[in-house]
Amino acid sequence: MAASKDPVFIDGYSSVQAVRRLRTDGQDATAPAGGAAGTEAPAAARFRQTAMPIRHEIRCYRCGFEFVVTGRLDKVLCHKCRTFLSTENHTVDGLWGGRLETIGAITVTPTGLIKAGEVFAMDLLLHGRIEGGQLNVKRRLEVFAGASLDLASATFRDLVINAGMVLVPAEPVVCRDITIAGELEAVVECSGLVTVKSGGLFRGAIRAPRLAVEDGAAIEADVAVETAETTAPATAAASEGESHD
Amino acid sequence: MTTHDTPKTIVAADAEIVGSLKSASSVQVEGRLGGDLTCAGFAHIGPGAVIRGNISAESVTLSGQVSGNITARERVDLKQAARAVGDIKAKRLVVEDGVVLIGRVEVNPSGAPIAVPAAGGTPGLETPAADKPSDDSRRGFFGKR
Repeated sequence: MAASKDPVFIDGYSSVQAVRRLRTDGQDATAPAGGAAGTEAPAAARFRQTAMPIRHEIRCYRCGFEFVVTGRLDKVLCHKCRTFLSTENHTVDGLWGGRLETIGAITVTPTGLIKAGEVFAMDLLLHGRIEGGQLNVKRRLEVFAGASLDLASATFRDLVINAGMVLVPAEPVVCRDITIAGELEAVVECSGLVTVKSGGLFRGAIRAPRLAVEDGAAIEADVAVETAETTAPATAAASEGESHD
Repeated sequence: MTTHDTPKTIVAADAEIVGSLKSASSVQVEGRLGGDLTCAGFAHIGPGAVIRGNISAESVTLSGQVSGNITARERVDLKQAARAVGDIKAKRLVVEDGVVLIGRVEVNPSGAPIAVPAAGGTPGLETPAADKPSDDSRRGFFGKR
């Protein structure tokens, strides 16, 4: 049998056994892992926590198919179009004008410039500039002080505006979560959480189901924060109050 | 707790006041208030409280429901169960996740008017609409005020 040539797979049961062995060794190095035959294992040796492998939400940059991979990302094959996806992290520290695709992260340094390029990444950390082109970020777009981009040509799930960054997009910002530690003047429509950090400044309008404002944040905005669950009780309470009056 | 923070006026959970409430000290509302609340100190609006009127105080902590404007000279705290329908004006604001908030919020910890970002301050970005002609897409969700 050519078992020795096969790759080594670590199944869930082996992981649990490994954690249990580790905990046993940590508690009492002299105690046997399974306990003596016919006796119960000591309570300290019992496994209490399972280490779950990391889940990676992948979106194929060729066909757009979304799937989940658990564990370490080595070679990722799109289940739909059978394309091997690049998992490398890239750093752009000069001029780039081509196509850049990865399911890892891309970092654009302060000297980096992506001009009329087509970028697809899971996370994008932007210290430099992006001019023209198309920007597809599956997860998080994080902009730092001194960065420059046109949000109209970008799609992303979460937006993080770090301290020192001033962002004034002309178009409404539509995404899931926004974290504002810098300055943002925009109309924001979120399906998740809007967080304004201490020192952050927001002007414009917010429509989101959840809002968190830290002490020290500045806001000058029209705010509509309510979820479908919270709307019904609020309406009921209001009508109750009216009838009470 | 300072003297201002210690509530001297308490509207109990089973009490209802129809009309305005003014106090020179702090106020704690656990019941219903059908009018404006004005106090020189701290206003604590409990989880079961319902206020249909404006609130003006040094600081406001809201865990209940308010239909009206909230103006605080110092700080507004919106706790997790808070529901505020109205405008909020304060020097400092803390909003916990889970709050229902509908209205205009003007908060500036520095006290100075919030500066509009300089036109063309960020390369590659459009200028803010403050000096632009009116544009319906930038009016926000509440339309023309």
